Amino acid sequence: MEQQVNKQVNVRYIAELGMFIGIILLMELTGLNKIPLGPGLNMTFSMVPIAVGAMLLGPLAGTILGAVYGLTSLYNAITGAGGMTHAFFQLNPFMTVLLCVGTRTLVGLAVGWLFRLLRKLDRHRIWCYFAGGLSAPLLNTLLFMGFIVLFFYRTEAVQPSSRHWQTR
Amino acid sequence: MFVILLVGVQGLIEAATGLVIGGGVAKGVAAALKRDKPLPFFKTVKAAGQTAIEQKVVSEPEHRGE
Repeated sequence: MEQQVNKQVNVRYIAELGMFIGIILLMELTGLNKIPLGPGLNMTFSMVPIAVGAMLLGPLAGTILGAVYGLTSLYNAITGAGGMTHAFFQLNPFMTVLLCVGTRTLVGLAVGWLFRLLRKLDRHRIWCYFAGGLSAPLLNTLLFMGFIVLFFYRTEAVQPSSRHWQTR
Repeated sequence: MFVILLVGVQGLIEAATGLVIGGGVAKGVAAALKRDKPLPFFKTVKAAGQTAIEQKVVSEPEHRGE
């Protein structure tokens, strides 16, 4: 009986995880996750399903969802759809894999753990959800830009724009 | 300068989106799946609806069309 209940929970977990993966892929492949703000600038909602999945299903699901999003980002980097990451991929493919997949995987894991921690602190269980939702885009920007500054700052893909802003 | 402003605005909107949509959807789905309580706002709306039904301001869904 207990084994059957565990199996049901497991099937439900896999189904819910599959739905979140489907949402991420749908948003990424159809361009529904982007709102263009200007030349070369897009506002993305890609972190929302990762944050929601990490909060509802736990850190492991967050890690898997982050990795899926990272793989779509890597696909864009390889095919040339992602402008800056495509330039990085030509310079150092291994570091670009770490940049695209590694940082996003870490974001999903971090949001899942952070939410678990915040849920213990939040007695009424209201603000912990909003803090978890906020942490995903913030952590994504922090890790992604931090990785670029640490490993790609001195490359030709970054320096021309950096020099451009320094001379102003 | 305009580009820096645009990047800043982009970051702020992304953070706000994560806060409102991410947090709201997560809380809503958790409440719908009965893993957590709904937001107090929804309890108020539900209570107001129940009061309206009791005072016969509106009829209960199953009695509509009789």
